[in-house]
Amino acid sequence: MGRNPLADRPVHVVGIGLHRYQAASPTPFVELGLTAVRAALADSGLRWPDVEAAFVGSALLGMAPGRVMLSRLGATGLAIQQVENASASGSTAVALAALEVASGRSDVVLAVGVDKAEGWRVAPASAGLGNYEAGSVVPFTHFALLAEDYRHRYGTTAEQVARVAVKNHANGARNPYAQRQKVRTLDEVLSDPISGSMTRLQCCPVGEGAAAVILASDEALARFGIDPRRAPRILSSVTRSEAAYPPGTPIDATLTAQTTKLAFDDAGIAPTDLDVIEVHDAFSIEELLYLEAMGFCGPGEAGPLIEQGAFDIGGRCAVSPSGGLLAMGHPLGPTGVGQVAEVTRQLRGEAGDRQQPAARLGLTHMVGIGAVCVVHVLAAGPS
Amino acid sequence: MSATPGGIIPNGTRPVGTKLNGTRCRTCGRVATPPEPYGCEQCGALIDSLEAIEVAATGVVHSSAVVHRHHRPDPVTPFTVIEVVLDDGPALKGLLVADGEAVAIGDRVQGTVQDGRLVLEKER
Ligand SMILES: [Zn+2]
Repeated sequence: MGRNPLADRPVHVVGIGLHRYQAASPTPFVELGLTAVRAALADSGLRWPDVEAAFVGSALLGMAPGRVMLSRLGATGLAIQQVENASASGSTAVALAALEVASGRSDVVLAVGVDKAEGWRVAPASAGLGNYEAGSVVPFTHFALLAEDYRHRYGTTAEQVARVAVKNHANGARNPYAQRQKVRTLDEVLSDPISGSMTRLQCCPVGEGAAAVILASDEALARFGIDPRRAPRILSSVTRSEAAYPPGTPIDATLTAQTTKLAFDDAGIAPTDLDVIEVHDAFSIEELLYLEAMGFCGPGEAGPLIEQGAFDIGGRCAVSPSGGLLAMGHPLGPTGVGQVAEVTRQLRGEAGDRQQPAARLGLTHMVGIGAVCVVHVLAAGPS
Repeated sequence: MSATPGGIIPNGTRPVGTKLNGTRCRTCGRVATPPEPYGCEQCGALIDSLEAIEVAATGVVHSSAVVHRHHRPDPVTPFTVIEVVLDDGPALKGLLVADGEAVAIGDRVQGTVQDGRLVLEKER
């Protein structure tokens, strides 16, 4: 990896906006996306013509959703690029938007994620590689197998793993943009088995929605009179993909470990410095696996820590204060952008009853089919 | 026909001593099954550098999960998915043979391919 371009030319998040994540509905994607972008513009105080480039993250909408949606804000002729990177589509839109600003090409750039849960078409399935599964192994079983292996290795209980979902559903219940907004008891979370120890409420809902963030340079902050205290800085942005690990290597955790290590090095921080983390918790077990993989705690320690409340809002580090994929939801394109919006809200101190006290450093983490992993580290503006 | 989970294997056909088709990279030694059709995932060697080999369908249970919900009628739920690390290297996911004895992590298993699926049972 070369030099971190975000170290040379600071990139700030100056506006955030969302359309609530929800179950599939007849609402057109244009309406979902415009709701989020208009909210982000209002939050930033910027006008649409100030935006010089847009990156549109979606995985399921098909070709060319960007201009038809954004033109209804006034067709200014700005640069528009479509971004697809599976579950990490939105995160990659943010990564490219950050690079666009850091490169000096643009001073104000939009990253928007928007999606509808329809028309699934997954390229690896038609890659001609073959397997011995014949459709019997779907994602929740992949993660049920990881959960079984993890619990066997460390003696972690099914209840400790389920605590991830109890926490994230409680967080989602306080998030007006979450698809699931209901507090759940441990008994509720443990009921309704799907695969292995994974139950319905330990699997994320895939619906629809939108999330938008506006990124800006120092020059734009000065030119438009943006309050730097409301403009957290993106310290690092790292994308990696699965390598040819030796047989038996835990692939998901290893990819996350390698990606987050690079992101921490670029940002000049240690994992334990983090106050807030939005993690790819599509399945409850993932939160424990990834917290350990990123070095926030040692192997096998995440189960006891979650039981002690270390990852609650108000704990050592608030993990998935938005509700995460488990409760806020996982509409694919929006998810990674929504993580950046939540961390921005936390670092501004504007998260209301979801606020992690004195949050100064945050991380967002998404993985996508492939597998790919995209990580951002953000720091609060001057207090 | 067996009416037990999965209903995969008719009575009388048991997985014994099956070999899977595979490839081994002459450059780096990476073993793949099913056979690698494009190029070595580890070192990028061209397909000419991959030799056809037989991979023993035996190994150790790395993990397992009983699946209660499935989006298709086949396999019939509940069925058990086993992740096995083969003695020859690759890790694969397969199904516990219908009416098969439950397996635990660390158990040795043997398998065969039936209707495109690896089906596994405890090694005897
Ligand atoms: Zn090779």
